[in-house]
Amino acid sequence: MIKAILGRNIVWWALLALLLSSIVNWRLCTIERGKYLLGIFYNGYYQNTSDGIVYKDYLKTHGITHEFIKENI
Amino acid sequence: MFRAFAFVSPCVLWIFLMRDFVFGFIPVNMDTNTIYGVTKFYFNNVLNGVVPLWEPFVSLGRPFYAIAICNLFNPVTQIVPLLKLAGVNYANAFVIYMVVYFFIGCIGFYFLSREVLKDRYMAYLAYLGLMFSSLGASMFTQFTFLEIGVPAIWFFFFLLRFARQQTQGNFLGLTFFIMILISSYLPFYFMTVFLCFLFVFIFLYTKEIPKFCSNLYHFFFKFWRLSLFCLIGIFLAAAPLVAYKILDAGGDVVAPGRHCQYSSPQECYDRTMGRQAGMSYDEITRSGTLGERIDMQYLFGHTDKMTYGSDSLLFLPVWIYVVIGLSFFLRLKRLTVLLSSMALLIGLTSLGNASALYAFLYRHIFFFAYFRNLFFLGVFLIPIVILLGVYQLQMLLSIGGDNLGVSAKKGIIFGVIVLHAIFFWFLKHFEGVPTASYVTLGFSAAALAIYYSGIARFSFKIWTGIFAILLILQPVWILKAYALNAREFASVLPSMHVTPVFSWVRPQEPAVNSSRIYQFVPYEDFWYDMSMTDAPPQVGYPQSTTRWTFDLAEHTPDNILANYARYKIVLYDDLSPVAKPVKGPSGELSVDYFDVNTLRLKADFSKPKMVVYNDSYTRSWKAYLDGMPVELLRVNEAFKGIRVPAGEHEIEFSYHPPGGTWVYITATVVLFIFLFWSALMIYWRL
Repeated sequence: MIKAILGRNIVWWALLALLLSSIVNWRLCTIERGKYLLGIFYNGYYQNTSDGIVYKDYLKTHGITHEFIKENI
Repeated sequence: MFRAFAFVSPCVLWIFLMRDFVFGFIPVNMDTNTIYGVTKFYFNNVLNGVVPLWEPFVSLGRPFYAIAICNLFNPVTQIVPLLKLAGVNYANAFVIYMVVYFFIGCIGFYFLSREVLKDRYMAYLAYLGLMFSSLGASMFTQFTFLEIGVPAIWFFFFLLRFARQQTQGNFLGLTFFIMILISSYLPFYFMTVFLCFLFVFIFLYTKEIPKFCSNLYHFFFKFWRLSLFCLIGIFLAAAPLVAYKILDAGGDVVAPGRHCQYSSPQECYDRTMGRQAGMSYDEITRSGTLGERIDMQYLFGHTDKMTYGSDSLLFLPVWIYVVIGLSFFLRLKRLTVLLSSMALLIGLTSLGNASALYAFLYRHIFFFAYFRNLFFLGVFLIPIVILLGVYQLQMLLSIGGDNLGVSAKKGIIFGVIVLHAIFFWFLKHFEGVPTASYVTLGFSAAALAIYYSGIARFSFKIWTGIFAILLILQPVWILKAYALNAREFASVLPSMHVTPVFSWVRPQEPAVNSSRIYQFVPYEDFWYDMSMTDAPPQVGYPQSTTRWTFDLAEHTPDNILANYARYKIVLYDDLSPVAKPVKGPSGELSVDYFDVNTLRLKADFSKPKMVVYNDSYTRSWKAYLDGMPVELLRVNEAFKGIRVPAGEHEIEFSYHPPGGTWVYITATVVLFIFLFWSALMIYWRL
């Protein structure tokens, strides 16, 4: 029974998800992405004139604020 | 006939969706703009009868460093000059070449999938999945993805074929795509993927490896001449890259673009002049990792807001994710582990310093210091995940059939609906998910419920058609939105054929502002190469320049350098140290011949002069006086000079880097030979 359960994809996917969440520094990815987007798009209002909504949302939802910019960039 | 229609119609649909790009209304952008500039510069000069080795128009003259990394020797790339000769302009010819290359990649993926899954219907779905992923859309901003992705797909196809059938044709096909991988771009991305593959494969297929090695050994032994030719072919295809590395090792060329992006001015100077070929860990991981470029949120949401100009857009048909989600309760198979582990290892490597794996690889494997932009590795995730998804679909569909009882069928249909509902709930967590994704989800639940219920007894061909619609429904909507968003970038790139003309004076101001196609990234260098006109006299931090020019620019104020180097030729006579700039042709000095590698002047001085050509000096430049070699002097720190006696004389400056033009011509010819040779052997089933 246990062997049958362990032999299913779901266990493997869960293992991969666990691995990804534990060994990847996602906070660092967010900071790097924030810097990248700000480097390209930052105009003081977190907006890119052509697709402002996306990056405005991104920066907001990831807690990237003026303070973050001052501290990290 | 039907099969041809099935394969051609998606191509037509794709071209229709991307018509503004394909027909040249929207110019190529980002790195593709660079690659277009390089390609145009190369073939324009080749059609003028000159293999370009020097770029005299930018950075005060520099080696044409990009010649070895822009897929210029690939037989498919030769479409560009052929179309030009047929009357198509360079920009349109370049886009046609890219699109053809992309479709060749999709066909390769069909063959690879058919080889892996042993099912042509599933392989066809994989073909559609790749065609309607971000791989096609991203070619207009990051053609490098195709340069490294397409030959890698074909390589794995021939590797698998050769593992199953040790024929000469398969071996030649394998060799040909190794040659393409080596000659098209830095091979390190592919090497990383191949390492990941080997690592996982050895673990999972341990029993098969001795047999493969034994077969390979017997093949080498039996066809030793062929093997030797293939080895020679690989060396010849690698010659352009090797020629550049020899030039680089000679010390005349530096790459400030590699070292100065995130360094202090002093670090930038020290590292550049120290000619550190590899990059530091910090230089690589500081920018360009996959974590920096993609975010989970944008795999599903806001896909209609993708701006033209992002060179890292990544999306897969949402139905691929749905199918992977549905496979949760399937039996775990070795191929699932192989593909997902490869994706995991490649993903972790491309995350740079956000995962420990890259740091480990950087410390222990030498070539990891020689490439950055780790997000390029992300391109390999696209075919791997699609293949994984289609494989899960194949297993899911194998569950149904007449053997199932009514209760089993009900159970499966219930499971299908519940899993779709869970995926619906998952999607609701993202902002801006397109309606097309929800529609796909709804149709998918209905189609699979009908499939498992056995109500509609369609042939598998019909089911494949239904699944094909599910697969492309959401990507069609995304591509349409993407093309609409890009319309604001409509502008024109230099695309007409040019015969370069020697200009005596460099401009003080940039020629055009429209070269900034993408408002945040300047691409002036390549605009000047496309148009073969001179840039203002400045150096900056280019990817390649000569060490003396860089050194001079680093300790000379910009305005002083610009004032001095404004004039291409200055004259000194023995009595006066004051330079006399030459502002145009005269009876004393005129241009006899000019191409990007050579300048020939006619002089008629009343007294001996020092002629200084304000174009960067390297030791590969040679000087000739009346056809006889004379000493070329490095003058005014970074430029070329020659002593000319009084009277009528012919002066020539010409560039002769390691390998000369032959390495490039040979690489092109050898690739053609191996293409036809392997095609014939496969056709004859040898």
